[in-house]
Amino acid sequence: MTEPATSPGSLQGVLPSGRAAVSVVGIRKHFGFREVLRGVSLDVERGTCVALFGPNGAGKSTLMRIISTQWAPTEGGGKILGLDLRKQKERLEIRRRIGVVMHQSFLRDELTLLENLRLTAALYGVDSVEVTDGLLERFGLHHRRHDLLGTFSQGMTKRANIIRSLLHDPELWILDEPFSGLDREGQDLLSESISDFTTGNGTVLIVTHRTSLGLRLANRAIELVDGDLTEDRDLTAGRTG
Amino acid sequence: MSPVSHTERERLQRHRAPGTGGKQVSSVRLFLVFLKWDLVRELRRREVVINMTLFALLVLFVSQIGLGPNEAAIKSVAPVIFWITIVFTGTVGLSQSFAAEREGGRLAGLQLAPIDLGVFYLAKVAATWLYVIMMVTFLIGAYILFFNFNQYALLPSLFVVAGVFTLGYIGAGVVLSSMTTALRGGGEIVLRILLVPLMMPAIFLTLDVSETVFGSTIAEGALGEATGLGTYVAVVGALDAIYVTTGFLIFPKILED
Repeated sequence: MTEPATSPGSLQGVLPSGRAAVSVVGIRKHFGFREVLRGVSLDVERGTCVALFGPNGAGKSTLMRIISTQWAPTEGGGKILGLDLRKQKERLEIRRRIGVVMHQSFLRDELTLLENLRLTAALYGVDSVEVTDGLLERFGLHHRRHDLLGTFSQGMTKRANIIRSLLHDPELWILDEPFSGLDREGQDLLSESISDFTTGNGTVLIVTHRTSLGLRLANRAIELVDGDLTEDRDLTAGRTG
Repeated sequence: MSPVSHTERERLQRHRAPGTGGKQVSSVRLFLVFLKWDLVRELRRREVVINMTLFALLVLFVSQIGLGPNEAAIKSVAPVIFWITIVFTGTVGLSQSFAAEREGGRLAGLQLAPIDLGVFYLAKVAATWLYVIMMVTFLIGAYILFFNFNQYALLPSLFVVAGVFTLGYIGAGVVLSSMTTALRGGGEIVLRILLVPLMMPAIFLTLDVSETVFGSTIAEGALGEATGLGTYVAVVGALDAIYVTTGFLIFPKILED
């Protein structure tokens, strides 16, 4: 089923503000003369998983970086978890409440996995002992926790990256190509975690080229082409259980 | 499924009320966390201090061969070579220390954390300054050896001048290297081109005070009357405060843009 956008490049203005985890309006991003995002507007309801598809260079990762506050938009703004994307103090609060997995791991090769997680926990004011063991067990890295990250394979680094993003119990989980590098077991663990996360009213924004996996996990699929949102599909219709 | 992972499933499924997530961390604690992990990295990789020290020793060694046994030349030129070595070796340390932060997207990770990036800047300055002080200690030892420097009573003053000068140098250098290490190749050269002119007031005063701390005459007295140690510490210390405070304020903006 296809639901047309409210206006070209706009999927915003449908949800009451309290129910929206993400509500951005007219986001534009320029790199020099190149316009990567052309006025993107988007609402995402709390407790849902939204998959973002699109060809390479469509602006998906740029949109994720703006929503996660890593980059400021050239124009436009909005609210993430009810906090203003353009106000510095509220940007810090957004960071406290989101978990992000990007292409790069943000982890340090010269530290062990446990040391990396302790460092992340310290940045977020989290008691790492309380949560780390469970996450390490879940993602199958408990036995490697004392090994230097530099000795990890790509897939294991990705698992470590996922654990890092969940340490502070975020409300919004932003995942940019989280399945790349993961083996079958890792993909299943992540899929299960995404389902569990939304069950607890957490919101997931996922960018992936694994279309079938994305469609299976998400409640809603949107497509970004050449900096514009072009398609919005409700995936819950017709699903049972 | 193990009991631990079952608990973990429950944790993920637990209802997330708005306002959960991380907590605010005090700046002092954050500073100590960054400083600790920077020192751990250096202890494990042994990159910055060793590279700076080797570079500094080579410069001093070649200069010693060039000057030969000419005592007059050593007295007037060797102190200048000492400071030139610190200035150029410092950029090696700055580039390496900051390049390590770009590996694996660590800086992006810091940008996404709910922290004041100014505190990260202060910790980076403190760590890099410590590495430079270690290098300076080796350099002074080599200077004594290569140039037969035997005025040991002046060594504490020399340490003080080196410490005060390098603090501002690193303070300004960390800000500039955050920009130049993003350049592909040539970043270190650009760093020198930007940093040395910016540091000219402090470099001039440091050369001037060298007459006091090395007990020699620099440039045949062309720099004028030698600056006293107290005046030097007050003036260059004030310059350090300006460099570090400015760095603390603008560093987060540079990373965010």
